[in-house]
Amino acid sequence: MTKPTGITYLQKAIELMLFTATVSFIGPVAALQNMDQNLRAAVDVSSKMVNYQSQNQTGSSYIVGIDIHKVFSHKNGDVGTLILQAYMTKLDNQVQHPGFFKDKDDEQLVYRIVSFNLTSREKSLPNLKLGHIELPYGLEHTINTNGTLYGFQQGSILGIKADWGMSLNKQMQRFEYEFSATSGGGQDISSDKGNHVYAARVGSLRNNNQVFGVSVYESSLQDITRRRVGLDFQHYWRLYGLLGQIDVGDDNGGDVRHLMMELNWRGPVEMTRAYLQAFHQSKNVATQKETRQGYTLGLQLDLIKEWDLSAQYQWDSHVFSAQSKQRVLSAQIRYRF
Amino acid sequence: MKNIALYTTFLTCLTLTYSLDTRAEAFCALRDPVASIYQLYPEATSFRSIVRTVNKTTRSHVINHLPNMSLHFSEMGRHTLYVALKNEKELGYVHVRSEKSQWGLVEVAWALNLDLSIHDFTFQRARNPSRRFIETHEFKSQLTGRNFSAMKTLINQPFAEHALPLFSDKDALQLASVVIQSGLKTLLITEQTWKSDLIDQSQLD
Repeated sequence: MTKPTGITYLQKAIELMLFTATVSFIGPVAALQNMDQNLRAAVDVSSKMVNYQSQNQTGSSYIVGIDIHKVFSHKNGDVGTLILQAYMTKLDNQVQHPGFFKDKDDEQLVYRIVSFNLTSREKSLPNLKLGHIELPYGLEHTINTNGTLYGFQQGSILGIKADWGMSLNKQMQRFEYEFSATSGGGQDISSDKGNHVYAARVGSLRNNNQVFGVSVYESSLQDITRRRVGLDFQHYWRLYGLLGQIDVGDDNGGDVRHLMMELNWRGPVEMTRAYLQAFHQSKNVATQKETRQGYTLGLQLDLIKEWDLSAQYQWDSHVFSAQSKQRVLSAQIRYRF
Repeated sequence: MKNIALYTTFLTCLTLTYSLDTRAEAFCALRDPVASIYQLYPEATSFRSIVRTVNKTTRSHVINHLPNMSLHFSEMGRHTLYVALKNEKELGYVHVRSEKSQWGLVEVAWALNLDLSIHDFTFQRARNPSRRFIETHEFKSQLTGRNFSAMKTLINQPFAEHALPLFSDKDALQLASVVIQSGLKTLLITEQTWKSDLIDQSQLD
């Protein structure tokens, strides 16, 4: 695939900006401030067990990481926010794993979010975020699922969840937006030729009881070109939440559709959450339309301050012709201190 | 060899990192209440964050002054006080506190005057179906200008006599009570935790 000249320049610009931001901006600002000023830091340890019932296999993963959040501030206002999340991850017979792991028993230092969000000096102008950022698309962008079993299958919809690059973002009085351009390398800061990811979401404020968002996405990753338009909504009423997302688009020209719905319940002190999700996916394969449908039932308990226990059961009711039905039981224990 | 280098680097970082905060959610979930700050202070041009720790001392302070209230675990740890600025001039403070309620946590963004009296408030999040009654000018005006002592007088009369003409349903009254509790805690915690950062020191004990 021939890489368009504009994308080549964009990738070079992103790499140059990331390097420049790291060396010439963050360094001196950090040096000027006490490191513990406006700092939040935690060590995050978790262990996950996954039972692939249809394959009669059980896998585990062990994760230990640091989570740092620091606001750089000046007497005239905030300068920007640094987030650093690096997690040493060891897999043990994890049959299904993200593509950046070499095999089911691999170990890697995984960057989740590593970003600096430069606060705009003008109220109406956007902030500039640089680094390994979460792609602004759909429900996953507004609801934090980082490090938990809970999620919205963004990886399978877009082919990637977080990437190295930049974004323009802002929370306005009635809506928020984020537009990103990233390299397509995923965990790697350098990317294969031709890879790129563009994503954007505009939506109402995420704290409201009714949230609506429109997202667009275009990427070229390992010779697969994906295009998506997504609509997402959240409606909260008392202790219940109804969430949904619909995506339409194509993979290398073949139509794809996704539909996801969730009903959830939280306890009054929000230390307990239960959710039921339904996923429906369709795509055109050699003029044939194929569908996949599955469900997820999950429970999350924050029993005491630092501990988080969660369990989830996923099952397919219908799959694409080349796949077999999966039944997966997962459990996770997490400790932050 | 590469893995050993990775582990060494990583463990060094871990050793150097000391724990300052614990919360179930990762820090990437944190969002500044930008829309609330500019809604509460429309003339503000920017804001400054000051992050401090709400600790056991603060908790004891709250229990001493408000014997029937306590701090649940998400109220402890690192929290941010925002100073709303118009150019370099301080207009007031914004602090967000979450409070338990029948319908989940209620997050209130409080605007405080420099003398630590209530300027205004807005909900960051409230799943109570009757929140619209609490967002009215009639309700808010009953809190404006009150300092801690003046707010405390409302505990024993949680708006029953003032509120009934405004709203009569149970959910609204319950949310009003949560808001008063949140306001009282905010005033007390702000004074205690950000004591050295407050611009008007004359109001302090």
